[in-house]
Amino acid sequence: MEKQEILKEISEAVINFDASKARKLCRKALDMGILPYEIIINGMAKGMEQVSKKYEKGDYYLSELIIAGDTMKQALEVVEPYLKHEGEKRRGTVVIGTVQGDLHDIGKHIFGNLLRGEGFNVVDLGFDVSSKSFADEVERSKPEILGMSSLITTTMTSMAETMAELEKREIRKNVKVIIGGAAVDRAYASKIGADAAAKDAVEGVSICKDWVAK
Amino acid sequence: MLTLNPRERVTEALNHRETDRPPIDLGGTVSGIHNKAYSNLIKVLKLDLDVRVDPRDAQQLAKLDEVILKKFGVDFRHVGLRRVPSFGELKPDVTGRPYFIDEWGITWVRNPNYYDMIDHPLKNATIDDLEKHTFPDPRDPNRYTDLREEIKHLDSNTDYAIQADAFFGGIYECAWWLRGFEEFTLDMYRRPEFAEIFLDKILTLYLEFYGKYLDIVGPYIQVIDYNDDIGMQTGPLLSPAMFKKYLKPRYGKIFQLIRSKTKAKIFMHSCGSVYQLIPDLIEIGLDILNPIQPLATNMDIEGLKRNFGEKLCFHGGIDIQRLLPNGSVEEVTAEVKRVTHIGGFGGGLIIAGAHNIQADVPPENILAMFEAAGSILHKECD
Repeated sequence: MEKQEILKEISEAVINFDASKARKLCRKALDMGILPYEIIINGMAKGMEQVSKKYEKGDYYLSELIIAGDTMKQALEVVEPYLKHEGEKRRGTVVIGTVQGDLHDIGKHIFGNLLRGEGFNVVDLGFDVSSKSFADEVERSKPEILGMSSLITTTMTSMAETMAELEKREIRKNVKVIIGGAAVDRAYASKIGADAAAKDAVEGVSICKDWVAK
Repeated sequence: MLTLNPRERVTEALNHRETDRPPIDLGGTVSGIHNKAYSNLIKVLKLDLDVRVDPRDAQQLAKLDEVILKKFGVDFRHVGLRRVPSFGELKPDVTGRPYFIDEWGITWVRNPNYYDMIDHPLKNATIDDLEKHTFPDPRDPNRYTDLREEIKHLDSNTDYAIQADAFFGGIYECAWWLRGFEEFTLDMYRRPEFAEIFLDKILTLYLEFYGKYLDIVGPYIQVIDYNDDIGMQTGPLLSPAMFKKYLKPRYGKIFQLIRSKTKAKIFMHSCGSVYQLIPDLIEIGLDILNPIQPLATNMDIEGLKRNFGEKLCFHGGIDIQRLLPNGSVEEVTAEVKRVTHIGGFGGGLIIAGAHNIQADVPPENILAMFEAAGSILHKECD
């Protein structure tokens, strides 16, 4: 089997949510000597792109995003151990978390899975994350992007506190900030000085990919 | 137009007939008010009331006082099953935050304003484990303590419409609250046998719950709730195909049982955008959709009324995501008038917040909302 052909099949396995086929093909691709990063970017991420397009068109729903994310997660388990030998080549690092006072993390978790499938290194701080913890992690991991999520109007204000904390520590300029969750929009992003607001996980991933491509 | 009493007003509106003013709701589990917003409200109104809240209520809603309900012209009074006393003792977790485990086995931890679930008892379950798990007992008499007396009193001694609140989330929520959201989504696609058996087990319990509940309240109520969040901001949480496969037939069985036990209208709450699923819900007998979250995709009252207004009534409609917490009094008043004029045309609208009024809603906006709702007569809309 040719390299392009197997990468295409991996992509199709993701589109069809066929996790066991995706895993088998990933093993085969590694055996063929295809680099892990290439399997992710030109195989599974291509499949995820198609899934995301179907989601944006309204042909797929959140449930399908989760299944596609799970398919990628299972395929990544095969590839990731080899990725470490490749010097951790990734698209970039994204630190994510649900803000303080908010324990809703379903959307944020999906965002993280999609980012991983797109070849990002993801540091997920979980939920109820304080501005101090966000800033500490930005200092420690030096990510390209920080993503904050908030579902409810009563907790979105803590995003502004994190922005202030990043400014105070003079690390704001080092990181792009994206916010998401039902409570937030572009106007709020602009108000608190974040770089973008995503309406959902798919748009969030697309914005992150654009940022690191520049 | 003659002035109607609340029960008449609600009955007329729910039968798609225009009333002197649209019925107003405040109360229950999905149209209530957070205790902090309630506390601010009673301060502004200079009322000497204690704010009462059940310490284990996940949504931390205030128990409403008659003086407020009367002032706001609320047409409904709500009844519900009682909390079983042996469950849900509050304890501090390692960080000192209160938490409790409910009678389904779900762990809820306190955040500043609510309780959120953080652990799901069946997250690693097999089909065999479903048999071993202890589910709540619908026959527990503690759930029905004094319920018959309460409902008879409301029926005989007041002229309010009576709404029987849901006793828990719906079958979909129940399934994923017990399993975890991603895990149950994976069940539906990757382990359909498990998903079917699990949902059937939940359905059997729900039919028994509704059966026993309606044996008591059925003859007296105008509205019965079924609450199941199947929408998110931009669309359904699960695909219409999955909805049709797993949920629609089971909802149908619940609605059928309700129909056999009461003449009350069937009310369903789902947050978010459920526009695409509405024809299915109408087909299985839904009468009233709540909460009509206007910022969710395709959920503005205008399109809903145009496309489904002949068959479906709407409950809610006043935005709680932007307008009530952040809008001006003038904006709130204008929006209540807009929703009422469009949604209330020919009946079929009950005006209320598009979910519980949250902790950050200023009292001025709450007052503006109810003043506008109560002051509108349909002759103004002509």
